[in-house]
Amino acid sequence: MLADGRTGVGTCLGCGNTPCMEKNESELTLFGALDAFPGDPSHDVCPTRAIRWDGQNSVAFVLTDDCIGCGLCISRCPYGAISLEDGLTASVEAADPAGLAITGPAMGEHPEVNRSGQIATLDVPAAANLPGKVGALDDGRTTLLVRNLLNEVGLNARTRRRGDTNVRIDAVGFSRSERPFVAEIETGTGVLESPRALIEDVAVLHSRYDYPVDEIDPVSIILSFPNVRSEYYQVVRDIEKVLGLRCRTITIGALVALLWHCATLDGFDGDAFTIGEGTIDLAECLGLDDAKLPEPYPGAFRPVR
Amino acid sequence: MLRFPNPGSTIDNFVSVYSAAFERLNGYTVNLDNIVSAVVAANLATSSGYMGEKAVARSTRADRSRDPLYNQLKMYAELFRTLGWLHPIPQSALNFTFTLLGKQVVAAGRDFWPLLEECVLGIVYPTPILTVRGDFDLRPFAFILCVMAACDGHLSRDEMIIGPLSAPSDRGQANLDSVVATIKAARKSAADTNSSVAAVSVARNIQVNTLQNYTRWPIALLRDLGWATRRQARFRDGRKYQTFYLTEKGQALADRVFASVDLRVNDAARLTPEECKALAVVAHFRMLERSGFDIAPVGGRLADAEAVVVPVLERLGTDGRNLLFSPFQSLSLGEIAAAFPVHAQTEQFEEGASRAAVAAAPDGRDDRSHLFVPPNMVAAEEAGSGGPDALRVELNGLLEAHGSIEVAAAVFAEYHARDTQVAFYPLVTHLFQILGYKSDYSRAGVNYQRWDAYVMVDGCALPIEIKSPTEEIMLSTKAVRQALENKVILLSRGGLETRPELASLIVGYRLPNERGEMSNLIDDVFKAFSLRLGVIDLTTLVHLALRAMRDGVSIDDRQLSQLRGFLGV
Repeated sequence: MLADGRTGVGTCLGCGNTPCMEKNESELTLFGALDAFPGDPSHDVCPTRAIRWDGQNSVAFVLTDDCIGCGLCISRCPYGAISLEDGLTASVEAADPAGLAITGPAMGEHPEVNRSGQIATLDVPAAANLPGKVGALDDGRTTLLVRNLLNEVGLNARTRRRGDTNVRIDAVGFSRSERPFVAEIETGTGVLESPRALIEDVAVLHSRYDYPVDEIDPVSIILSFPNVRSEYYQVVRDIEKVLGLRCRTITIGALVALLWHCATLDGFDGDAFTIGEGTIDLAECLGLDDAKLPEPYPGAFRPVR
Repeated sequence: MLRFPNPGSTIDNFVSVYSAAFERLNGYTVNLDNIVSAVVAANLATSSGYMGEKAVARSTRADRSRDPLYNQLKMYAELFRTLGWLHPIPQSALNFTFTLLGKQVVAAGRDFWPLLEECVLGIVYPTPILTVRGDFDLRPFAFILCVMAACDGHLSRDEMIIGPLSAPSDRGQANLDSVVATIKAARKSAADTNSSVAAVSVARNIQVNTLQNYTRWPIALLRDLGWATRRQARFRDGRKYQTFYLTEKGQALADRVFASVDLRVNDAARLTPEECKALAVVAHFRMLERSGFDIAPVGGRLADAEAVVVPVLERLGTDGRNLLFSPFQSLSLGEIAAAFPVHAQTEQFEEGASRAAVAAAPDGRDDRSHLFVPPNMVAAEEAGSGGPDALRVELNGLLEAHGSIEVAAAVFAEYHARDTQVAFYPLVTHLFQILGYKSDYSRAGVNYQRWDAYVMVDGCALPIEIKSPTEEIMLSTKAVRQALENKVILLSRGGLETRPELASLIVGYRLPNERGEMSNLIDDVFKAFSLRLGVIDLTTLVHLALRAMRDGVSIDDRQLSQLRGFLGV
């Protein structure tokens, strides 16, 4: 709704800073010593660069063939000009069908507005398509997707720079209470290797950068929970039992659910996202009002049986 | 053969490294140390597992030729020069200034790709900007595209080595035909391709792996610029191989190259200074125009230059729009300065002390001597009598044949250099048995027991992570992660008696050449969790077994169970 009470479909105003396409430098900054973490320098919002700029008309547009339907560009448009068309791929409205826009300088800066509401429900086709679309991304695009999802749900995070073999931690960041976390990102069949890599990540962060072990939250960021009988759960419990490290698990589906609900994540401390003696259900950890959230795809919130 | 260095990373990062250096240092004359500092400040470089200033401290070596960051940036700088983004100053090839072309790449922001594409087509040898080994008359990337188009639309890594990158010249149809014939002959079978690559290797005295490394940057460009995509093709004998096919965009570019007028350094040398200056202006701004830059603001300057160069262009049969000529990559520093006068960039950048002057450990690392442990051998009743008879006979035979434990151990290790897990896992346990320890390996498929084997010391089990030579010749940090997990699982799930303070072992064929990262991790794990990880290579283990058989000694129980680091003889 505009200040004058008018409502309607938003339209692309051709923002000069193109927040739907590019992150600014300050968004890529990390707190404290971790700002030296060699992160992916990409400012791209879209992990597949599906959103482009039409220089002639000064508006953004989406290459639908390349769009994975994650909703990142939608969440960053201040004017609601981007939506999931048919619940499938992002589409930019540039024709101002509600006649809300007034003429201003193209590529100019526009005031910041608060976004609320919901991008889409979790039962649209784009949600169900996520495993296939994300699973097909290469390593660099996957980590970019994860970084941007973490950022958009409110976490100060950075993913590693592809090709840097000296630092093997996939991602580092901070909860809202500035508690550091380390993350391993695994969207393929290597989920089982993620917990062992997290132990090493914690050791490196503690030993080389002086963060106390019990103040670091290790997080596996995965595409889908492995089968309920997978060794993954047992290894996570073994690590907690022997080392006192509580490895958290969150899925890309859960991050997308938060994004689509315009919700934020406080971080990974406490009991959230941990695997106790029972099995995990992320729907209970997301802090969303709707307790019976539909699972966007099998394995997004809970292990497949 | 043309040797493109491989600084690693993606093309995106490659451009980010240049942008980081440009944004911090433009306007100055800079050296490689300045660029290293700028790149580290932008979080684009790491060394030995450390980041930021710690990375610089780790990398800085008394011997600069072994300084990893310095060497990496040297490779970047060579490629930046090739692309015309960085120029050496006339007085020194190790001091550089940023060029107008580089500035325009940075100005393009995230839309740098079209200009990068032009710069890649602009790479040409010889060039006054960079001296390369060998005598070449090549525009390599344009030639690669032409060869791909003429070779059924595709080219593999090895074909790139034997074909366009090994050709002395791409001038004229005969040179193209010759390269195409070489490639088509090699496509008979994998063996034919391999022998063609081997011939290049012998002729140039360069190992095949190194030859292949020289293709990494060109392949990354073909892929990331969208010129080619990886697919399979078949040799004429029917076997499949991986190759790179021209995309529609790549084919269109190959067509453009065929239709272009290719102007080289020696062509430009025939022009008068005025013509050369005008040609540089026309070629540069047309290149920017093709890259999507708005050149209207320089329309007047362009028109003036075009008026001067008309006769030259007419002689060449072009109006200047389809010219393959990138002045920043083809002209001398003097000619560039005449065509594009810029503010002086002669002030040397100075920021604190030179890295070369920074006091550094000879190899840039902390003292790691505490992790290299010689074995403490003690008399042991059971030493030398355990293990399978056949293995003891084999070892005795080697000892008798060679007379020396060192030689016998080395020969034994060589015999087992191609062992798979099936042979290697039992071998490791048998060698521990010869040392007088109870040891056994896990059955294949028993996932619950993660460790590959264990050795019992004083009633407690030390889990062993084994890497056979066919899995990895040299142990890697992956084994460290797995040994750590082995210990955690054994402590958590039980099954064998153990205690937290006892070591988790890693046994492999050979220790890594660069032990820095593995030893760093062993220290990190001990500091964070007080868990000990001990590493033994096959030659050392055999050496100890031979001593057990000859001298009736074995490694001290306590040393083995408390091992942290590398056991070495």
